[in-house]
Formats: sequence, C-alpha cells, structure tokens
Amino acid sequence: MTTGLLDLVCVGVITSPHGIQGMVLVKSFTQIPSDIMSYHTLLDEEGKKIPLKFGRENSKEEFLAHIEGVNTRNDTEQYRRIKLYVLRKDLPKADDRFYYHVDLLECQAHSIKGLDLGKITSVFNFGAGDLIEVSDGKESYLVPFNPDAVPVIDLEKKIIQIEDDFLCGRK
Amino acid sequence: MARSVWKGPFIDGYLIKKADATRASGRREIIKIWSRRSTILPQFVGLTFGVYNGHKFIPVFVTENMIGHKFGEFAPTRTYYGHGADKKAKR
Repeated sequence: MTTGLLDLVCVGVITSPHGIQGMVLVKSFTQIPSDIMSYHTLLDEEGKKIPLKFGRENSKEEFLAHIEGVNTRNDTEQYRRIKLYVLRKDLPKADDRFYYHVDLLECQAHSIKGLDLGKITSVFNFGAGDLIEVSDGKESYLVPFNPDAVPVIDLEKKIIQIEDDFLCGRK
Repeated sequence: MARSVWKGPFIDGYLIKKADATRASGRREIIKIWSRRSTILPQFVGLTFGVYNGHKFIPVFVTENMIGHKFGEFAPTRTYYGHGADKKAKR
C-alpha cells in the first residue's frame, strides 16, 4: 500500500537499536510524548506497517520498543532513523478553537484587503501564544494565531485571512 | 544576585511611551520593540509587542501571567523548528 505523503503525519523516529534482543529506541514528536504508544498503526514513509510493541520509557521523549518478528540486533540495524507516521485520519478530532499544525501548514494566506501573502510554513509557540509563519518565498511574516489577527480559517479550502495590522516580522 | 526591590522593575523609557500611544489610538497594531531586557508591566496586558530577536520581530501578546518576566524570554534567538506531529495550535 502506498500512501500520499500529505496524508501521513510524522509522530516519531526510530533512533537506534537497543540491546541484543531486537529492541529499538523510539523518539516521540507528539505533544504528550507517551501518546505515540496510543497509535495502533505506525507506518514508514512508504506506508508500510511497522509492528512496534512499546515497552518502558527510556528517557524524556524516548521509549523502548520491540519490532515484532525482529529478534537480533543486526536485524534492527536496518530500522535505524526510520521515521514513524500515522494517517491524518487516525488523529483524534481537534476541539473547538484547536487546529492541528499539519492542517494549517500550506494554507494560503490573504490579508483582509485581499493581498496574497503566501503560504503558512511553520507554527511556533515561544510561550506567548501560538504564532504562524507566512512566507511567499521572499518575505516572511509572523502572525499571532488568535481571532483578532486571524479572523477567518477555512481548512477545507485551505485559506486563512489575516488582519493587516498584525503582519509582523517583515525582513 | 537578584535586583534590589527598591529600584523597581527595569524598563526602557521609550517602551512605556509607545505602549501609551498605541493604547490611546485604540488600534490593535503590533508595537515593534528592540528592548528585550525590559520587564513586562501590568499596563502592557492586552497589547501585542513585536520583540526583535536579532533577525525578525516575534509577536508577543501580553497576558497577566507574563508580568514580571522580560520580553526577551518570549522571543528566542535560536529557533528549533521541531516536528508538527499531532501538536495543536489554539486560536
């Protein structure tokens, strides 16, 4: 089965083998690190299922896991640095006012006056609320992600509208 | 050593003037500032500042919890992009 890259969301990576009995270390990228264990189907980049059985937490954001059918360290070497994905439809429904970063990325941004500002390239949070970065390839803007600055979000059409006063970070 | 209490919080003077002017105008624009060392005061709550990080201006919407912290704390100078994964943004 091959899945389009847009439908896949990267939630972690197999960093290295661990021990000699086919265990691996998995680094989690999820908001709550242990949430990676709750996804039943983890896929690789090509959409192939990787049957992981999670064990204990090794360190912050890292978990031990066993790949079913793999029992030696040599066999686990081939899994090194393989990224783990889930299907976008497998993510739980976001509550009101919450938006998945993956949904916002690549949305086309327009100003209220109708100017084309580019696409959303990143979503940040530096401790003072969420920020979106809009870039047209030449210029980039950082915009606070709140109803005043971003009054309109249409995820189906992949369009957002930005209030002109909140365009910040122009280089 | 912590700053002496009798001195009061440190703040660059121009910042208070800019904040007052914006509040008086009633506009909701971003106030561009370069003073990362200034303390966030209660009268800044509700305003959005663009704090310079040496590269660009990072929007900082001031809330009550941020009073007493410095502006620079909310505008990192080195950015780690990280992974989106299942992370959510709150609007």
